[in-house]
Parts: sequence; C-alpha cells; structure tokens
Amino acid sequence: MRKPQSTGTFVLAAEIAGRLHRATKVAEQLSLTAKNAHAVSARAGQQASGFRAITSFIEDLAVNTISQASYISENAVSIAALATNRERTAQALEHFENVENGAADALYIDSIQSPARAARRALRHMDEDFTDRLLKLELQLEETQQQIRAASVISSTSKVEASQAGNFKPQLEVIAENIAVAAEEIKTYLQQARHLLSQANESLRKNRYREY
Amino acid sequence: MKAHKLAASDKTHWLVFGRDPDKPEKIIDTNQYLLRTEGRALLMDPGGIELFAPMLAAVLREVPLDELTDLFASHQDPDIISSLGLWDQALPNAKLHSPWIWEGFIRHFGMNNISYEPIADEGGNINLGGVEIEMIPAHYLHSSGNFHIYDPHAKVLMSGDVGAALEPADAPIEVSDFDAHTAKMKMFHQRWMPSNVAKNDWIKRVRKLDIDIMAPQHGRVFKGDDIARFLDWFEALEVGIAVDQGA
Repeated sequence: MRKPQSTGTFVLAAEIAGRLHRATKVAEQLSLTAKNAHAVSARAGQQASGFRAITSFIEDLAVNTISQASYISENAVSIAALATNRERTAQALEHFENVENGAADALYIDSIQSPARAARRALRHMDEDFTDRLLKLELQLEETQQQIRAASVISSTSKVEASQAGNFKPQLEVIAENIAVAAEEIKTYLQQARHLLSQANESLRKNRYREY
Repeated sequence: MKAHKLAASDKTHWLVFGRDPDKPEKIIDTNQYLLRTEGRALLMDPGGIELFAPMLAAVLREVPLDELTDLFASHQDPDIISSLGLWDQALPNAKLHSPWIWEGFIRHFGMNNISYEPIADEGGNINLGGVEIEMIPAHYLHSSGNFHIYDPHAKVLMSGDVGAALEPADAPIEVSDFDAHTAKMKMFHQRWMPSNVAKNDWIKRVRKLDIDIMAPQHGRVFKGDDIARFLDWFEALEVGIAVDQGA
C-alpha cells in the first residue's frame, strides 16, 4: 500500500509565505528609515558625510529585499496552492482505494481503475513539480539571506559613522539602531522561512507518492 | 448505503440511495437519486463530502462510471454537492447541471474537470441519450436558485427539499401514514422555506404534472394519492415563520 497524505505541507508553504510577507513589511520600514537617514545626513552636511555615503546602500538593500521577499512569497503561495490540490487528489485516491477494497464485489468496480490511475499519475507529477519548486524556493531564500547578512555589516558601520556626526549624533544613532533592528528582524523571518522549508521538504520526502 | 429501486419505465430506471448506517452523527440524512437510461445515468444531489465513499461504492453496484455522465445539484447547499471536488476526479468528463446563479459558489467545492451546465431560471431539459428529462423551477424552495427533476416517462418528481422530513436514518423509504408524517415535515417546511408566494407558484406548476412518485432529498417518498395530499397540506401551510417570530 501507499501513503498519499501530505499532512501539513500546504500549511507549511502558506506559513513560509507569511514569514516572507512579514520580512517584506520590515524591509518597507527599512526603506523609509533609509530615506530618513538620507534627509538627516544631508542636513548634517559635513558632520555626517560618512553616514550619508552608506544611506544609498541601505536604500538599495531595502528595495532589493522587498522585491526578492515579495517574489519568494508569491512562489510560496503558489506552492501552497499546489500542495492543496495535491491533498485533494490524495484524498480522492484514498477514497477510490477504500471503495476498491470495501466494495470489491460491486458489479462495476473495475470502472474505478481509470480515475484511480489518473489520480496516481497526477500525484506523481505534482510531487515532481513540488520537488522542483521547493528547491527553487530554497535557492531564492539563500540569496536573500546573503543580502541581509550585508545589512548587518552596514548597520555596524552606520553606528560608527553616527557616533562621529557631532550635533546629529543622537538622531543618526537612533536611525543606525533602527537599521540594525530591521536587519535582525528580516534575518529572523528568513531563518524561520528556511526552517519551515526544511520541514516542508521532510514532509514531502515522507509523504511522496509511491506504490509499494 | 442502502439502494432501493424506486420506479421504472420503458426508458428510465430510478434508484434511491440513503439510510447509510455508517453516516457520521450530526449529519442530516439525505436521499440520493440515480436515474438510468440506456447507456447513460444522472446522479441527483450526490451529497456531502462525508458521503462520497459510500455513494461511490453504491453507484458502482449499479452503473459503470463511464456511463455516469451527468450530475444534478438542485441548489448549492453542502449536503447537496460538497462532494463535488471528489466526483470531479472520479468523473472527469461529466456535466453538472445546476442553477446558473450558483456557479460561482458551487465551484468553491472544487471543479477542475467536470463542466458546469448552468440552468436558466425558467428551467430546461437534460437529454440522456435521447431521453428528455425536465428541470422544473423551484426557486426559493428553499434556495433562491432551485430546481427539481421531473421524469415524464416514469412519472417521478425529485422534489429536493420540498416534502422533506427530519427523522431517524433508519426510517422507511415510503410514507405509509400521511397524517402522521406531517408532524415530521411541518417545522422543516415552515422554517426552511422562505416564501408563501414561491410555494404557491410551485404548487400550481406541479399540479399540472402527472406524478406517480414524489421523491424528496430528506425523509420518505410519496406515492399515489399522498402526492395530492401533500400539495394540499403544503398549500395550507404558512412558511417563512422565523420572520414573524423575530418581529
């Protein structure tokens, strides 16, 4: 016999999308912080010349993170939809097989073979599709994580630069702290998404359609 | 799931499925009807998702799946058609005949393969391999887009929720004592049916039909004189009572 259930895979994929959505929201805040930093450092003039140089990096980073996290989130939503379809097909197949066993004496029982074969074929295709999409998602997440690691470096640099900004030091230190907090939050969401992804992979591995 | 031969003509054969002893608790008992012609079959109000496996097993005792070409959903309720997503995988080439107003709603049950055949408000026919079966308007009884099936060959009216009764799942298939049976129907009709105007319009239409058997989706089927008795009883019954009670 086989075990067609993909318990929770669609929930896991939806949760990944949720984490990335939250990362996107934090990146949007980061983008605003970068704009604010740009304005403050422009007002500060020479006193914040070092800080001003890094504001454009922060803004680029925020924009890239928003676009990548949104893209990955959309992919995760489509994976959740695929997982839901798979669940439905697996349930149908389970019913077909229960009927095959429980009503083996029914006059027309053989006619269940065709839809059962179609459901098995669909499950195999969906599992292949799943594997591909989860792998792509993993690569996309890894790329975004690398970017966000750069944000940690930038936040350390911005703290140093803020401490040398004379009268504007308090304002820029707050901004530098905001950058650090946002980067850390995004990093956490991405780590959670990676963790959920590994659970989704494990769920797929366990529940992958197979005939024994 | 029990199967019971209901009626037959030279062109059509009727079966009723129901009284499932394994039905989960708290799920309303339902009657599912199968109409067979030569090489084709129509399953009416195929039921909820919980009934799919026993219904499929029961159907396979009577008809091969490739002959089950048509489904009919009298309206959009879950006890009528929430099994659609599973039938969709069992009958990828079938047609679902259902009120046009419910298409966007019924598709929420999952429909990737079966084709939706919207029924116009005035009703229409289903051609089952040259045998014409009629879809009779029953709007607001109880759903705002609602149809019944009339087979003029076997003189059977599948009357959806009209004539329904709430009673135990082991109740007999046929009404034997009409007067006693009204107690099981009264609250259902008064509370589930919203409109006296719609009710009287339906009664007028149905009185013109030649009916030997009236077969509701819940409860027992009516035969012979009990059909006229039911129409008289229904005509005298005030429906839509929750509005008055709440006023």
